[in-house]
Amino acid sequence: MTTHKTVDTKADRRPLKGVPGVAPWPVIAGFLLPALALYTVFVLYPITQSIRYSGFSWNGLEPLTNWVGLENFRTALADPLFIEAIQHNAIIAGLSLLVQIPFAVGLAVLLSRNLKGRGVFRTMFFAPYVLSEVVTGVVWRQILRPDGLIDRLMGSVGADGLTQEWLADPSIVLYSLFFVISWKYFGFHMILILAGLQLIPNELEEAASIDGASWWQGFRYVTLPLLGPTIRVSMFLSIIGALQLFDLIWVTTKGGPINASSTMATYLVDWGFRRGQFGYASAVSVIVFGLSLIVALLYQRFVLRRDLQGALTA
Amino acid sequence: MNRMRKIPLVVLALLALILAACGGGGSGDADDTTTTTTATDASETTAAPGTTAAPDEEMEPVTVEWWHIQNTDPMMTLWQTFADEFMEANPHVTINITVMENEAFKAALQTNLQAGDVPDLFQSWGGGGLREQVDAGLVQDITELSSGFIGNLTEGAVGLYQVDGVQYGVPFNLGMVGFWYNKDLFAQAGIDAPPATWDEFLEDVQALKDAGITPIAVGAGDKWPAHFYYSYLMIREGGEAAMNQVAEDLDFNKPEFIEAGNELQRLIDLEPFQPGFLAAPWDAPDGESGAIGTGQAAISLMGQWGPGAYANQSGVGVPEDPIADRLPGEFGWFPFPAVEGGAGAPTDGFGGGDGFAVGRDAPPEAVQFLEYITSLDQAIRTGETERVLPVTKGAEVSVTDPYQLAVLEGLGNATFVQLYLDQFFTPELGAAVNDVVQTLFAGTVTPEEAAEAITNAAAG
Repeated sequence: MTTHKTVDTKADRRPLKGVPGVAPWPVIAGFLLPALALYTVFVLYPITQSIRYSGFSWNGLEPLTNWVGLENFRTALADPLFIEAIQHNAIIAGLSLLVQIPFAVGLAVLLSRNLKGRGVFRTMFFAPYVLSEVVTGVVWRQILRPDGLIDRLMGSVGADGLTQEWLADPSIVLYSLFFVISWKYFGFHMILILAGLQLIPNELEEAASIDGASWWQGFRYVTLPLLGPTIRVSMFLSIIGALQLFDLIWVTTKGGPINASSTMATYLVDWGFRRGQFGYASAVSVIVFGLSLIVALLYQRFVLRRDLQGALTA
Repeated sequence: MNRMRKIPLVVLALLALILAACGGGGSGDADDTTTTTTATDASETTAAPGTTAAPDEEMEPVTVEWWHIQNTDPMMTLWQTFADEFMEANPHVTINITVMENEAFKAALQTNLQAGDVPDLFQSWGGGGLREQVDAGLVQDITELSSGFIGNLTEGAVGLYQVDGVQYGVPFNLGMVGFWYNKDLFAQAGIDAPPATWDEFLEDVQALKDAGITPIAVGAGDKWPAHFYYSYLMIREGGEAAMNQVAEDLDFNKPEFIEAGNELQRLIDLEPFQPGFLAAPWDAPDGESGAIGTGQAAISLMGQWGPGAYANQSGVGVPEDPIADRLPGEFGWFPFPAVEGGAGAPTDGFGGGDGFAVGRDAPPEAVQFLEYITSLDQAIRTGETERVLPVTKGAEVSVTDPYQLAVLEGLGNATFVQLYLDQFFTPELGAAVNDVVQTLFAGTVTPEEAAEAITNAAAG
């Protein structure tokens, strides 16, 4: 209220100021500029540079002279290793949606009840999310190494026949990493959904049970639909996270062995910084950017439509 | 009034931001020019006859950025000591050391080179990587500056840091790759002498396996330790002629190299490696050095730095202790065995050195510092760490431990030394060689496909 008054009085004093209640343009510019400058320097400028580099065959050291047009894009999209990397991202995204989110919903529903020590459980489940991806990676690499904690644990309960080369077997490594990723992020989704649950008025569930709905019916037809917006946002974050996946993989396996756990990001870093092919890596980064943008826009357009009334794509 | 005052403020803020944004590039340029000027000034001074590092206070202060990868003791401390000594004798020089782990160094250097922010002295293996840096004008011609002392170093090592006859760096270490083995484990398997031929080697591997011992540890996750096997077999199959030929035509689709792949396949088929070798790094508790250092595997194909790393992973003693006291059992070294029917001599070697390339803006003091650390006395101190085989003539006397002596002898007998393939070629092709080797070790490609894949990568 007070702010309103000040703005109004100012506007009265200076009638040329335009629409009452709207801050004068120098103020708008003043507030916008710092963020805009940072955004330009650290986001827009690098993106345009990447697009520019992507047209060259360039090792990062020599002058930019070898223009190859769209050749880098053709090579990337024809490289089975890059396609494989995209598939790995897709697998992680798919598994996250199918396994991680339902698990988080289940836990959240459980922990929203009047359970003894639920505060302790909530903290415990959320704790992994607080760790950085690098710390998570280093710790899990030690746990999953041959004869590491997992193998010994399994050995001590007589399951040594079931131990695997968790990070070294090309057919298993991606799923081991998915487990680690889920371990790190399920707590985050759980908290999101818990918050969503708290927004649902108790009366609705009570009304359903008075009408004779079973617990499952109440959950299926009352809770879940009302939880929709939260779950859709949770899924969105999951998908975006899966597309960007890098740190954790780089620390544990560098995308190996034999590219069995590569992602678009590890592929791109490998080509840029290990092989020094910055032109090609830039082209890959442009493709990754494009893919992420398309996925994000489509998701907003078709899934988040109802939740984002008035948004750009709605 | 109020408004009038505000607009210029905003404009000012805008200007300040633009200035700040451009400042990064601008001041960088300014720095470069200053350094170059200093460099020219100083080089004129040092070019004068008879000037050595004279301790005159009026000299303009210079800073030498030094990146090295001797990130474990005793070498890490020794480099620091050398830098301190040099700075004391030359008060106008400040040496800033950046120590990094091998893999981290490679990534960080690439970024700095690309930004044009070249360290004055940085680890280099010579080869294709150095050639790229030369082509991009990132390293300095030090032929003139180093002419006074480069003759004191062995030619083979010095040559690695030349491109087209021009000197761009100075070596301090030269060794070759060979088999380190745990004699106690060999004895347990009933093997009394190291193998002389590849077939004998494969038999010994089988014997170790039969005795319940993991025969070989390899850090195939880092890829380059695995590429030692493939490269050595190429050298044994093709000999010097084939290696020189492939350096020219980059064509790996040759019967010798496919045969090398076949021989490697015979080894891999024995399943001789430690569990999880495909993900194992070279130097980590769960890596190649860890498996050897804790006595979990018997053989490791590695360069002269091997025993030091095994000892560090053994969990026994401190870095200053003699390596032999820290290893799990008695160790020995044997050269890569002869391969029947191959064109290469059993004395042909595979290895390389470590040295420092000189960045384009480095002051001449950087080269003087290299002269200092490779001078006879300092080279002897380096050799005494048991981690390095100094390349200064006369410093061999410092190598007294049996492990390094064995490598030195192998190197002395070498009829030809091929530089590590992943350093010899451009970074792109080197990476392709390493990647393909990993797929060979994983058993997902045939030797023919491997040769094909490397050749295709070379063709771009």
